[in-house]
Amino acid sequence: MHQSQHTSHAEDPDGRIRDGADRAIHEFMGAIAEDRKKNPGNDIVSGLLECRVDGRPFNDQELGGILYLLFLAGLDTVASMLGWTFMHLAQHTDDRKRITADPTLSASTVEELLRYYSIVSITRHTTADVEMKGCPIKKGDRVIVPLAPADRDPKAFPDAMDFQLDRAPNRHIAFGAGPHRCVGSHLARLELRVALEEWHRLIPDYAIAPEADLGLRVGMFVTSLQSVPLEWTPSTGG
Amino acid sequence: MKVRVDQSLCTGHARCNAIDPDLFLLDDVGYSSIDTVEVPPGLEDHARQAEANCPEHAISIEVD
Ligand code: HEM
Ligand code: SF4
Repeated sequence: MHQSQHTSHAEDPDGRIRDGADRAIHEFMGAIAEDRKKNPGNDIVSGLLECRVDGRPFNDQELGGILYLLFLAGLDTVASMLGWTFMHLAQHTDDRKRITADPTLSASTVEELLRYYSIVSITRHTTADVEMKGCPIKKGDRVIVPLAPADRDPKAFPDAMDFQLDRAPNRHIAFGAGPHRCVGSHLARLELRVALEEWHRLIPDYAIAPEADLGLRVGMFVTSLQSVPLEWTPSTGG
Repeated sequence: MKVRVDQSLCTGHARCNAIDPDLFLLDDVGYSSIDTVEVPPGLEDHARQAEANCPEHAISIEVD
């Protein structure tokens, strides 16, 4: 299923790998929806089944689209952020020592990681002919807007290119803004914070394996590292 | 000091609530549920931090 987003055109010229992965995601989520129809619970899929928009439930195609989005939006994003997180902390010993010594810094560290490594590019269709800095964009064209430059904008953030793990305020838009802002932001924040705290409680010291190829991949939606191999010496104490 | 949340701008990032859960109440689905409230003495700084942190610029402060 990973292949849906991580296979490039060159690796998959006729799109067969990606189509297969897409189908697998639809089947996986469809099976969950079928189950929740019979056994409704207190979960998001049950909530979507109960949802009424303009007085009617979602049809199968709408529900399928939303579930597909939910699957992809929640998976690669957090995985990618974990890659950047551990790359950063492996390379910045001072930051790593500070959060290991004081786990109460983890919430603001997560915010600064989200700002500094804003991985998502959002997509929109233009509703009118416009021109941006001399570049014409036709009505209905699809534009991809990386959020990272906004989150390193010196007009919005003092010393924007500096990583400050206790930065406040930190009005970043790594989760987007407006009506489509990330529905998973609270879960994502929690996942990242738990990962930081639990990892550093057990493994405070580590480094990126020498000569590792992190494999930067600038995707259409998510910018990620393909792998971040870490090395550490297991502690012998209790 | 009063703090105001423009409900039409709030999209539920809950950054205000993370700064002060008692001052910035949320509704059941995570949107701000306050309109204009008097800031209790001593919490002015929380109000200012929330104003500076809201990604939607939904929070404003009125100083009397
Ligand atoms: C660090 C991790 C994450 C980042 C950086 C992130 C970022 C974003 C961004 C920037 C958007 C806005 C897209 C747009 O405006 O077009 C978005 C939307 C969305 N996110 Fe996340 N996200 C993360 C984690 C999650 C998780 C864990 C979930 C679900 C469990 C999730 C579910 C969604 C969904 C469903 C949308 C679409 C909302 C809509 O279109 O109304 N995300 N995310
Ligand atoms: S931080 Fe702003 S957008 Fe988020 S809940 Fe508070 S008022 Fe709403």
